[in-house]
Amino acid sequence: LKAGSDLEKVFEAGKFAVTAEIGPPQSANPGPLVHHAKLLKGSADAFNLTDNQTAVVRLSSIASAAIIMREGIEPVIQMTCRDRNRIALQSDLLGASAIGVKNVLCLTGDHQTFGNEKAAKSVFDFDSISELYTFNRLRTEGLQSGGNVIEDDPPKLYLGCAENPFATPYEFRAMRLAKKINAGADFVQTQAIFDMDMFEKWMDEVRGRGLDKKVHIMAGWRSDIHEEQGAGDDCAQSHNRPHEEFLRSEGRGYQALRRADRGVQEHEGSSRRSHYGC
Amino acid sequence: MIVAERKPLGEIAEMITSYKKVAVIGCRSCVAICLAGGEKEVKMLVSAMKLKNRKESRKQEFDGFVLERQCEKEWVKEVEDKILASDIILSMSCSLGAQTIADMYPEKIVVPGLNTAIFGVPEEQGVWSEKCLGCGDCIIHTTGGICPIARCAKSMLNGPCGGSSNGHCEVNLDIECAWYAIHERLKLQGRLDLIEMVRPPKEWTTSHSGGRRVIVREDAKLTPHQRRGKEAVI
Repeated sequence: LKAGSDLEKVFEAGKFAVTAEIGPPQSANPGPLVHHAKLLKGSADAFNLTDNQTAVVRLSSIASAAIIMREGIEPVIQMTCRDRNRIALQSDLLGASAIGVKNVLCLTGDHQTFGNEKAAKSVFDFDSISELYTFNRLRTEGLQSGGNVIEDDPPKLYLGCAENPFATPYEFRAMRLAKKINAGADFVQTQAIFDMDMFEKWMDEVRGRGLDKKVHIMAGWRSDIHEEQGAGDDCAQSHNRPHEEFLRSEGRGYQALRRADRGVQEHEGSSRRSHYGC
Repeated sequence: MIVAERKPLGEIAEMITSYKKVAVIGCRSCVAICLAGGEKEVKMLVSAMKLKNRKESRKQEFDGFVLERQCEKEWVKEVEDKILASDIILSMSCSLGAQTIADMYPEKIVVPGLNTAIFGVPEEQGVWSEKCLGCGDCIIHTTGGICPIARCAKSMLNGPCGGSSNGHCEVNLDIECAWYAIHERLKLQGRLDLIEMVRPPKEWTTSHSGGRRVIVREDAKLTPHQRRGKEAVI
Protein backbone atom coordinates (compact mmCIF):
# COMPACT_ATOMS: atom_id res chain seq x y z
CA LEU A 1 0.00 0.00 0.00
CA LYS A 2 1.18 3.47 -0.85
CA ALA A 3 -0.50 5.35 1.98
CA GLY A 4 -2.75 2.85 3.73
CA SER A 5 -5.88 5.00 3.60
CA ASP A 6 -9.30 3.38 3.84
CA LEU A 7 -9.99 4.47 0.28
CA GLU A 8 -6.83 2.76 -0.97
CA LYS A 9 -7.65 -0.39 1.02
CA VAL A 10 -11.15 -0.61 -0.47
CA PHE A 11 -9.76 -0.26 -3.98
CA GLU A 12 -6.94 -2.69 -3.37
CA ALA A 13 -9.45 -5.24 -2.06
CA GLY A 14 -11.14 -4.93 -5.46
CA LYS A 15 -14.25 -3.44 -3.92
CA PHE A 16 -16.53 -0.65 -4.96
CA ALA A 17 -15.65 2.65 -3.28
CA VAL A 18 -17.83 5.65 -2.54
CA THR A 19 -16.74 9.16 -1.65
CA ALA A 20 -18.92 12.15 -0.85
CA GLU A 21 -18.04 15.79 -0.91
CA ILE A 22 -18.20 18.17 2.03
CA GLY A 23 -17.92 21.88 1.24
CA PRO A 24 -16.26 23.74 4.12
CA PRO A 25 -18.18 26.78 5.44
CA GLN A 26 -17.38 30.40 4.56
CA SER A 27 -16.57 31.09 8.19
CA ALA A 28 -14.37 29.92 11.04
CA ASN A 29 -17.24 27.88 12.49
CA PRO A 30 -16.37 24.17 12.48
CA GLY A 31 -20.00 23.35 13.34
CA PRO A 32 -21.25 22.49 9.85
CA LEU A 33 -18.23 20.24 9.26
CA VAL A 34 -18.81 18.36 12.52
CA HIS A 35 -22.52 18.13 11.74
CA HIS A 36 -21.88 16.63 8.32
CA ALA A 37 -19.17 14.34 9.57
CA LYS A 38 -21.60 12.89 12.14
CA LEU A 39 -24.40 12.66 9.59
CA LEU A 40 -22.29 11.03 6.90
CA LYS A 41 -20.14 8.75 9.04
CA GLY A 42 -20.26 5.21 7.69
CA SER A 43 -22.04 6.16 4.49
CA ALA A 44 -18.92 6.52 2.31
CA ASP A 45 -15.32 5.39 2.39
CA ALA A 46 -13.83 8.88 2.33
CA PHE A 47 -14.97 12.47 2.09
CA ASN A 48 -13.70 15.10 -0.31
CA LEU A 49 -13.01 18.49 1.22
CA THR A 50 -13.10 21.17 -1.41
CA ASP A 51 -10.35 23.77 -1.70
CA ASN A 52 -12.00 27.19 -1.94
CA GLN A 53 -14.36 25.70 -4.45
CA THR A 54 -15.34 27.95 -7.39
CA ALA A 55 -12.75 30.41 -6.04
CA VAL A 56 -14.92 31.40 -3.08
CA VAL A 57 -13.03 31.93 0.20
CA ARG A 58 -13.82 29.14 2.64
CA LEU A 59 -12.33 27.41 5.64
CA SER A 60 -9.24 25.63 4.32
CA SER A 61 -9.51 22.04 3.15
CA ILE A 62 -6.59 20.91 5.33
CA ALA A 63 -8.04 22.46 8.50
CA SER A 64 -11.39 20.91 7.54
CA ALA A 65 -9.65 17.55 7.21
CA ALA A 66 -8.28 17.88 10.75
CA ILE A 67 -11.80 18.64 12.04
CA ILE A 68 -13.55 15.73 10.32
CA MET A 69 -10.79 13.28 11.23
CA ARG A 70 -11.60 14.01 14.88
CA GLU A 71 -15.08 12.69 14.10
CA GLY A 72 -13.54 9.48 12.81
CA ILE A 73 -14.06 9.90 9.10
CA GLU A 74 -11.43 9.91 6.38
CA PRO A 75 -10.72 12.97 4.26
CA VAL A 76 -9.66 13.42 0.65
CA ILE A 77 -8.19 16.89 0.57
CA GLN A 78 -8.51 18.79 -2.68
CA MET A 79 -5.52 20.95 -3.57
CA THR A 80 -5.80 23.40 -6.43
CA CYS A 81 -2.96 25.25 -8.15
CA ARG A 82 -4.91 28.49 -8.34
CA ASP A 83 -3.87 30.05 -5.03
CA ARG A 84 -0.51 28.57 -4.11
CA ASN A 85 2.86 28.37 -5.80
CA ARG A 86 5.07 25.28 -5.58
CA ILE A 87 6.56 26.38 -2.24
CA ALA A 88 3.13 26.64 -0.58
CA LEU A 89 1.72 23.52 -2.28
CA GLN A 90 4.58 21.33 -1.11
CA SER A 91 4.60 22.90 2.34
CA ASP A 92 0.85 22.37 2.77
CA LEU A 93 1.19 18.82 1.49
CA LEU A 94 3.85 18.04 4.10
CA GLY A 95 1.68 19.69 6.76
CA ALA A 96 -1.40 17.74 5.72
CA SER A 97 0.56 14.50 5.76
CA ALA A 98 1.91 15.32 9.21
CA ILE A 99 -1.61 15.60 10.66
CA GLY A 100 -2.60 12.28 9.11
CA VAL A 101 -4.12 13.17 5.74
CA LYS A 102 -3.43 10.47 3.16
CA ASN A 103 -5.74 11.08 0.21
CA VAL A 104 -4.98 14.11 -1.95
CA LEU A 105 -6.88 15.18 -5.04
CA CYS A 106 -4.75 17.27 -7.41
CA LEU A 107 -6.65 19.91 -9.34
CA THR A 108 -5.75 22.90 -11.49
CA GLY A 109 -8.67 24.79 -9.97
CA ASP A 110 -11.50 27.02 -11.13
CA HIS A 111 -10.29 30.41 -12.30
CA GLN A 112 -10.68 33.20 -9.73
CA THR A 113 -12.99 35.18 -12.00
CA PHE A 114 -15.75 32.75 -10.95
CA GLY A 115 -15.47 33.51 -7.27
CA ASN A 116 -15.78 36.29 -4.74
CA GLU A 117 -12.19 37.52 -4.99
CA LYS A 118 -12.01 38.51 -8.64
CA ALA A 119 -9.19 41.00 -7.95
CA ALA A 120 -6.86 38.20 -6.81
CA LYS A 121 -3.48 37.68 -8.44
CA SER A 122 -3.46 34.49 -10.45
CA VAL A 123 -0.88 31.89 -9.38
CA PHE A 124 -1.09 28.69 -11.48
CA ASP A 125 2.60 27.97 -10.98
CA PHE A 126 1.61 24.32 -11.56
CA ASP A 127 -1.26 22.72 -13.37
CA SER A 128 -2.91 19.54 -12.05
CA ILE A 129 -0.50 17.33 -13.98
CA SER A 130 2.71 19.04 -12.88
CA GLU A 131 1.24 19.02 -9.35
CA LEU A 132 0.72 15.24 -9.55
CA TYR A 133 4.20 14.84 -11.03
CA THR A 134 5.73 16.79 -8.15
CA PHE A 135 3.70 15.12 -5.38
CA ASN A 136 4.46 11.70 -6.84
CA ARG A 137 8.21 12.37 -6.82
CA LEU A 138 7.88 13.70 -3.29
CA ARG A 139 6.26 10.47 -2.07
CA THR A 140 8.37 8.02 -4.04
CA GLU A 141 11.81 9.66 -3.94
CA GLY A 142 11.38 12.28 -1.22
CA LEU A 143 12.35 14.75 -3.91
CA GLN A 144 11.07 18.31 -3.84
CA SER A 145 10.50 20.13 -7.12
CA GLY A 146 13.56 22.32 -6.59
CA GLY A 147 15.79 19.24 -6.26
CA ASN A 148 16.10 18.99 -2.48
CA VAL A 149 15.73 15.52 -1.04
CA ILE A 150 13.88 15.46 2.27
CA GLU A 151 15.88 13.85 5.03
CA ASP A 152 13.03 12.12 6.83
CA ASP A 153 10.70 9.51 5.43
CA PRO A 154 8.75 10.80 2.40
CA PRO A 155 5.04 11.55 3.02
CA LYS A 156 2.72 8.59 2.46
CA LEU A 157 0.13 9.74 -0.04
CA TYR A 158 -2.69 8.32 -2.11
CA LEU A 159 -2.97 10.62 -5.11
CA GLY A 160 -6.08 11.37 -7.09
CA CYS A 161 -7.07 13.58 -9.95
CA ALA A 162 -10.20 14.73 -11.73
CA GLU A 163 -11.10 14.36 -15.36
CA ASN A 164 -14.00 15.79 -17.33
CA PRO A 165 -15.09 13.41 -20.11
CA PHE A 166 -17.42 16.14 -21.40
CA ALA A 167 -14.88 18.91 -22.03
CA THR A 168 -13.41 19.60 -25.45
CA PRO A 169 -11.52 18.25 -27.31
CA TYR A 170 -13.34 14.99 -26.44
CA GLU A 171 -10.85 12.81 -28.29
CA PHE A 172 -8.02 14.07 -26.04
CA ARG A 173 -9.77 13.36 -22.73
CA ALA A 174 -8.73 9.73 -22.33
CA MET A 175 -5.20 10.71 -23.39
CA ARG A 176 -5.19 13.41 -20.73
CA LEU A 177 -6.18 10.81 -18.13
CA ALA A 178 -3.22 8.73 -19.35
CA LYS A 179 -0.96 11.72 -18.71
CA LYS A 180 -2.31 11.98 -15.18
CA ILE A 181 -1.67 8.29 -14.59
CA ASN A 182 1.88 8.69 -15.91
CA ALA A 183 2.31 11.66 -13.59
CA GLY A 184 1.28 9.53 -10.59
CA ALA A 185 -2.51 9.40 -10.18
CA ASP A 186 -3.87 6.38 -8.29
CA PHE A 187 -7.53 7.26 -8.66
CA VAL A 188 -9.65 9.59 -10.74
CA GLN A 189 -12.95 11.27 -9.92
CA THR A 190 -14.88 12.42 -12.98
CA GLN A 191 -17.14 15.41 -13.30
CA ALA A 192 -20.79 14.68 -12.61
CA ILE A 193 -22.23 12.54 -15.38
CA PHE A 194 -25.38 13.68 -17.11
CA ASP A 195 -24.80 11.98 -20.42
CA MET A 196 -24.30 8.23 -20.11
CA ASP A 197 -23.68 7.81 -23.84
CA MET A 198 -20.75 10.19 -23.78
CA PHE A 199 -19.47 8.67 -20.58
CA GLU A 200 -19.59 5.24 -22.22
CA LYS A 201 -17.71 6.58 -25.21
CA TRP A 202 -15.01 7.99 -22.94
CA MET A 203 -14.87 4.72 -20.99
CA ASP A 204 -14.44 2.81 -24.27
CA GLU A 205 -11.38 4.92 -25.03
CA VAL A 206 -10.13 4.54 -21.49
CA ARG A 207 -10.48 0.73 -21.74
CA GLY A 208 -9.01 0.77 -25.25
CA ARG A 209 -5.84 2.30 -23.84
CA GLY A 210 -5.87 -0.09 -20.89
CA LEU A 211 -6.15 2.81 -18.45
CA ASP A 212 -8.89 1.15 -16.38
CA LYS A 213 -6.23 -1.38 -15.33
CA LYS A 214 -3.89 1.35 -14.14
CA VAL A 215 -6.17 3.70 -12.22
CA HIS A 216 -9.28 3.44 -10.08
CA ILE A 217 -12.08 5.29 -11.83
CA MET A 218 -14.83 6.96 -9.81
CA ALA A 219 -17.83 8.35 -11.68
CA GLY A 220 -19.24 11.64 -10.49
CA TRP A 221 -22.78 12.25 -9.36
CA ARG A 222 -24.49 15.49 -8.40
CA SER A 223 -27.70 14.79 -6.57
CA ASP A 224 -29.06 18.33 -6.59
CA ILE A 225 -28.68 18.94 -10.31
CA HIS A 226 -29.81 15.46 -11.24
CA GLU A 227 -33.01 16.00 -9.30
CA GLU A 228 -33.62 19.52 -10.56
CA GLN A 229 -33.14 18.47 -14.16
CA GLY A 230 -35.01 15.26 -13.64
CA ALA A 231 -38.06 17.17 -12.43
CA GLY A 232 -38.29 19.67 -15.25
CA ASP A 233 -36.49 18.26 -18.22
CA ASP A 234 -37.57 15.02 -19.87
CA CYS A 235 -34.43 14.82 -21.93
CA ALA A 236 -32.16 15.18 -18.90
CA GLN A 237 -34.30 12.65 -17.07
CA SER A 238 -33.90 10.07 -19.79
CA HIS A 239 -30.16 10.63 -19.77
CA ASN A 240 -29.98 10.37 -16.00
CA ARG A 241 -32.16 7.31 -15.60
CA PRO A 242 -29.64 4.63 -16.56
CA HIS A 243 -27.10 6.32 -14.32
CA GLU A 244 -29.49 6.48 -11.39
CA GLU A 245 -30.63 2.88 -11.91
CA PHE A 246 -27.05 1.73 -11.92
CA LEU A 247 -26.37 3.65 -8.75
CA ARG A 248 -29.52 2.33 -7.05
CA SER A 249 -28.39 -1.18 -7.80
CA GLU A 250 -25.24 -0.39 -5.84
CA GLY A 251 -27.32 0.13 -2.72
CA ARG A 252 -24.60 1.46 -0.50
CA GLY A 253 -23.61 4.36 -2.75
CA TYR A 254 -27.20 5.38 -3.20
CA GLN A 255 -27.70 5.36 0.54
CA ALA A 256 -24.69 7.68 0.90
CA LEU A 257 -26.20 10.07 -1.60
CA ARG A 258 -29.55 10.16 0.17
CA ARG A 259 -27.87 10.90 3.47
CA ALA A 260 -25.75 13.56 1.83
CA ASP A 261 -28.90 15.16 0.42
CA ARG A 262 -30.45 15.36 3.85
CA GLY A 263 -27.29 17.10 5.03
CA VAL A 264 -27.64 19.70 2.31
CA GLN A 265 -31.19 20.45 3.34
CA GLU A 266 -30.14 21.19 6.90
CA HIS A 267 -26.97 23.11 6.19
CA GLU A 268 -26.37 25.12 3.09
CA GLY A 269 -23.08 24.63 1.27
CA SER A 270 -22.29 21.05 1.97
CA SER A 271 -22.29 17.67 0.26
CA ARG A 272 -23.83 17.74 -3.16
CA ARG A 273 -21.36 15.72 -5.12
CA SER A 274 -20.37 12.13 -4.71
CA HIS A 275 -18.17 9.73 -6.57
CA TYR A 276 -18.28 6.01 -6.84
CA GLY A 277 -16.15 3.49 -8.63
CA CYS A 278 -13.77 0.61 -8.42
CA MET B 1 3.66 45.10 -30.19
CA ILE B 2 2.77 46.78 -26.93
CA VAL B 3 -0.92 47.56 -26.76
CA ALA B 4 -2.25 50.26 -24.45
CA GLU B 5 -5.56 51.96 -23.77
CA ARG B 6 -6.17 55.56 -22.85
CA LYS B 7 -7.26 56.21 -19.29
CA PRO B 8 -10.70 57.81 -18.81
CA LEU B 9 -10.66 61.60 -19.20
CA GLY B 10 -11.78 62.15 -15.62
CA GLU B 11 -8.87 60.15 -14.23
CA ILE B 12 -6.38 62.04 -16.41
CA ALA B 13 -7.89 65.40 -15.41
CA GLU B 14 -7.60 64.51 -11.74
CA MET B 15 -3.88 63.67 -12.04
CA ILE B 16 -2.99 67.00 -13.67
CA THR B 17 -5.57 69.35 -12.18
CA SER B 18 -3.28 71.41 -9.93
CA TYR B 19 -0.57 72.03 -12.54
CA LYS B 20 -0.56 74.95 -14.94
CA LYS B 21 1.69 73.98 -17.85
CA VAL B 22 1.05 70.46 -19.07
CA ALA B 23 3.25 68.79 -21.66
CA VAL B 24 1.24 66.04 -23.38
CA ILE B 25 3.72 63.72 -25.05
CA GLY B 26 2.70 60.96 -27.45
CA CYS B 27 4.71 58.32 -29.26
CA ARG B 28 4.72 57.27 -32.93
CA SER B 29 5.54 53.65 -32.09
CA CYS B 30 3.27 50.86 -30.80
CA VAL B 31 0.75 53.16 -29.07
CA ALA B 32 0.19 55.10 -32.31
CA ILE B 33 -0.52 51.87 -34.19
CA CYS B 34 -2.95 50.71 -31.51
CA LEU B 35 -4.70 54.12 -31.65
CA ALA B 36 -4.02 55.09 -28.06
CA GLY B 37 -1.20 57.63 -27.93
CA GLY B 38 -0.19 58.76 -31.44
CA GLU B 39 -0.42 62.23 -32.95
CA LYS B 40 -4.18 62.09 -33.46
CA GLU B 41 -4.88 60.85 -29.93
CA VAL B 42 -2.63 63.54 -28.39
CA LYS B 43 -4.53 66.25 -30.31
CA MET B 44 -7.87 64.75 -29.30
CA LEU B 45 -6.91 64.60 -25.66
CA VAL B 46 -5.65 68.19 -25.63
CA SER B 47 -8.91 69.37 -27.25
CA ALA B 48 -11.00 67.38 -24.80
CA MET B 49 -9.06 68.76 -21.83
CA LYS B 50 -9.42 72.33 -23.10
CA LEU B 51 -13.17 71.87 -23.51
CA LYS B 52 -13.46 70.38 -20.06
CA ASN B 53 -11.43 73.21 -18.53
CA ARG B 54 -13.52 75.86 -20.31
CA LYS B 55 -16.69 74.26 -18.99
CA GLU B 56 -15.29 74.11 -15.47
CA SER B 57 -13.57 77.55 -15.66
CA ARG B 58 -10.12 76.09 -15.05
CA LYS B 59 -7.01 77.59 -16.62
CA GLN B 60 -4.27 75.27 -17.88
CA GLU B 61 -1.82 75.43 -20.77
CA PHE B 62 -1.31 72.36 -22.90
CA ASP B 63 1.63 71.66 -25.18
CA GLY B 64 0.91 68.50 -27.13
CA PHE B 65 3.56 66.82 -29.29
CA VAL B 66 4.75 63.39 -30.36
CA LEU B 67 8.12 61.64 -30.23
CA GLU B 68 9.37 59.03 -32.65
CA ARG B 69 9.98 56.58 -29.78
CA GLN B 70 9.42 57.76 -26.24
CA CYS B 71 11.30 54.80 -24.75
CA GLU B 72 14.60 55.93 -26.32
CA LYS B 73 16.62 58.64 -24.63
CA GLU B 74 17.88 60.15 -27.89
CA TRP B 75 14.36 61.05 -28.99
CA VAL B 76 13.39 62.38 -25.57
CA LYS B 77 16.53 64.54 -25.43
CA GLU B 78 15.36 66.38 -28.55
CA VAL B 79 12.39 67.88 -26.67
CA GLU B 80 14.25 68.61 -23.44
CA ASP B 81 13.40 72.34 -23.59
CA LYS B 82 9.68 71.63 -23.70
CA ILE B 83 9.95 69.10 -20.88
CA LEU B 84 11.86 71.53 -18.67
CA ALA B 85 9.39 74.32 -19.43
CA SER B 86 6.41 72.27 -18.25
CA ASP B 87 5.00 71.84 -14.73
CA ILE B 88 3.88 68.28 -15.36
CA ILE B 89 4.29 65.69 -18.10
CA LEU B 90 1.32 63.67 -19.24
CA SER B 91 2.79 60.76 -21.13
CA MET B 92 0.61 59.33 -23.85
CA SER B 93 3.12 56.55 -24.44
CA CYS B 94 3.25 53.10 -22.93
CA SER B 95 4.66 52.93 -19.42
CA LEU B 96 8.14 52.42 -20.91
CA GLY B 97 8.08 55.85 -22.54
CA ALA B 98 6.67 57.49 -19.43
CA GLN B 99 9.36 55.89 -17.27
CA THR B 100 12.12 56.89 -19.68
CA ILE B 101 11.18 60.56 -19.23
CA ALA B 102 10.71 60.10 -15.46
CA ASP B 103 14.18 58.55 -15.12
CA MET B 104 15.85 61.18 -17.32
CA TYR B 105 14.27 64.13 -15.47
CA PRO B 106 13.86 62.95 -11.90
CA GLU B 107 12.71 66.37 -10.69
CA LYS B 108 9.77 66.31 -13.11
CA ILE B 109 6.40 64.78 -12.31
CA VAL B 110 5.35 62.30 -15.01
CA VAL B 111 1.82 60.88 -15.06
CA PRO B 112 0.49 58.11 -17.31
CA GLY B 113 -2.25 58.93 -19.78
CA LEU B 114 -2.46 55.31 -20.89
CA ASN B 115 -2.84 51.93 -19.25
CA THR B 116 -0.21 49.66 -20.77
CA ALA B 117 -1.89 46.32 -21.24
CA ILE B 118 -0.51 43.58 -23.42
CA PHE B 119 2.03 42.19 -25.84
CA GLY B 120 -0.58 41.83 -28.50
CA VAL B 121 -1.32 41.19 -32.12
CA PRO B 122 -3.76 43.27 -34.21
CA GLU B 123 -6.30 40.64 -35.26
CA GLU B 124 -8.47 43.07 -37.24
CA GLN B 125 -9.12 46.82 -37.19
CA GLY B 126 -9.81 47.69 -33.55
CA VAL B 127 -9.05 44.24 -32.09
CA TRP B 128 -5.79 43.30 -30.34
CA SER B 129 -5.20 40.01 -28.58
CA GLU B 130 -2.61 38.98 -26.03
CA LYS B 131 -0.21 36.30 -27.29
CA CYS B 132 2.95 36.57 -25.19
CA LEU B 133 3.75 37.17 -21.53
CA GLY B 134 7.50 37.54 -22.02
CA CYS B 135 8.33 34.52 -19.85
CA GLY B 136 11.85 34.42 -21.30
CA ASP B 137 11.78 30.77 -22.35
CA CYS B 138 9.79 30.28 -25.54
CA ILE B 139 8.26 26.84 -26.11
CA ILE B 140 5.85 27.44 -28.99
CA HIS B 141 7.76 25.02 -31.22
CA THR B 142 6.28 22.29 -29.01
CA THR B 143 2.75 23.68 -28.95
CA GLY B 144 1.93 24.21 -32.60
CA GLY B 145 3.02 27.85 -32.60
CA ILE B 146 0.47 28.78 -29.93
CA CYS B 147 1.65 30.11 -26.56
CA PRO B 148 -0.21 28.43 -23.68
CA ILE B 149 1.42 30.71 -21.11
CA ALA B 150 -0.26 33.80 -22.57
CA ARG B 151 -3.28 32.31 -24.29
CA CYS B 152 -4.49 29.94 -21.56
CA ALA B 153 -6.12 31.77 -18.63
CA LYS B 154 -4.33 29.37 -16.26
CA SER B 155 -1.02 29.30 -18.20
CA MET B 156 -1.29 25.51 -18.23
CA LEU B 157 1.45 23.36 -19.69
CA ASN B 158 -0.70 20.24 -19.66
CA GLY B 159 -4.04 21.51 -20.89
CA PRO B 160 -6.81 21.71 -21.70
CA CYS B 161 -8.48 21.90 -18.31
CA GLY B 162 -11.96 20.54 -17.69
CA GLY B 163 -13.46 23.93 -18.44
CA SER B 164 -12.79 23.83 -22.19
CA SER B 165 -16.24 24.13 -23.68
CA ASN B 166 -16.79 23.66 -27.43
CA GLY B 167 -13.30 24.98 -27.98
CA HIS B 168 -13.84 28.06 -25.81
CA CYS B 169 -12.33 29.15 -22.51
CA GLU B 170 -14.41 28.82 -19.34
CA VAL B 171 -13.26 32.26 -18.21
CA ASN B 172 -14.60 34.01 -21.30
CA LEU B 173 -16.66 32.10 -23.83
CA ASP B 174 -15.77 34.66 -26.53
CA ILE B 175 -12.14 33.55 -26.33
CA GLU B 176 -10.80 30.33 -27.79
CA CYS B 177 -9.38 27.66 -25.49
CA ALA B 178 -5.64 27.79 -26.21
CA TRP B 179 -5.21 24.08 -25.54
CA TYR B 180 -8.12 23.17 -27.79
CA ALA B 181 -6.40 25.23 -30.49
CA ILE B 182 -3.05 23.55 -29.75
CA HIS B 183 -4.65 20.11 -30.01
CA GLU B 184 -6.31 20.96 -33.34
CA ARG B 185 -3.10 22.49 -34.76
CA LEU B 186 -0.93 19.54 -33.76
CA LYS B 187 -3.51 17.08 -35.05
CA LEU B 188 -3.41 18.88 -38.40
CA GLN B 189 0.38 18.60 -38.40
CA GLY B 190 0.36 14.96 -37.28
CA ARG B 191 2.36 15.87 -34.18
CA LEU B 192 -0.01 15.03 -31.30
CA ASP B 193 2.85 13.13 -29.65
CA LEU B 194 4.14 16.53 -28.54
CA ILE B 195 1.30 16.93 -26.04
CA GLU B 196 1.03 13.31 -24.97
CA MET B 197 3.99 13.47 -22.64
CA VAL B 198 3.82 14.95 -19.14
CA ARG B 199 5.36 18.40 -19.04
CA PRO B 200 7.12 18.92 -15.72
CA PRO B 201 6.78 22.21 -13.81
CA LYS B 202 8.00 25.24 -15.73
CA GLU B 203 11.16 27.02 -14.66
CA TRP B 204 9.91 30.55 -14.07
CA THR B 205 13.41 31.85 -13.33
CA THR B 206 13.65 33.47 -16.76
CA SER B 207 10.39 35.35 -16.19
CA HIS B 208 9.65 38.29 -13.91
CA SER B 209 9.40 35.72 -11.08
CA GLY B 210 13.18 35.47 -11.18
CA GLY B 211 13.45 39.17 -10.36
CA ARG B 212 13.53 42.23 -12.59
CA ARG B 213 15.22 41.42 -15.84
CA VAL B 214 17.92 43.49 -17.53
CA ILE B 215 19.32 42.12 -20.77
CA VAL B 216 22.96 42.95 -21.43
CA ARG B 217 24.53 42.29 -24.81
CA GLU B 218 28.24 42.87 -24.38
CA ASP B 219 28.82 42.57 -28.14
CA ALA B 220 26.33 45.36 -28.82
CA LYS B 221 27.56 47.80 -26.19
CA LEU B 222 29.54 50.83 -27.29
CA THR B 223 33.23 51.02 -26.50
CA PRO B 224 34.25 54.05 -24.39
CA HIS B 225 35.70 55.54 -27.59
CA GLN B 226 32.47 55.05 -29.54
CA ARG B 227 30.45 56.46 -26.65
CA ARG B 228 32.54 59.63 -26.57
CA GLY B 229 32.03 60.03 -30.31
CA LYS B 230 28.28 59.63 -29.99
CA GLU B 231 28.03 62.13 -27.16
CA ALA B 232 29.98 64.64 -29.23
CA VAL B 233 27.45 64.31 -32.08
CA ILE B 234 24.45 64.88 -29.74
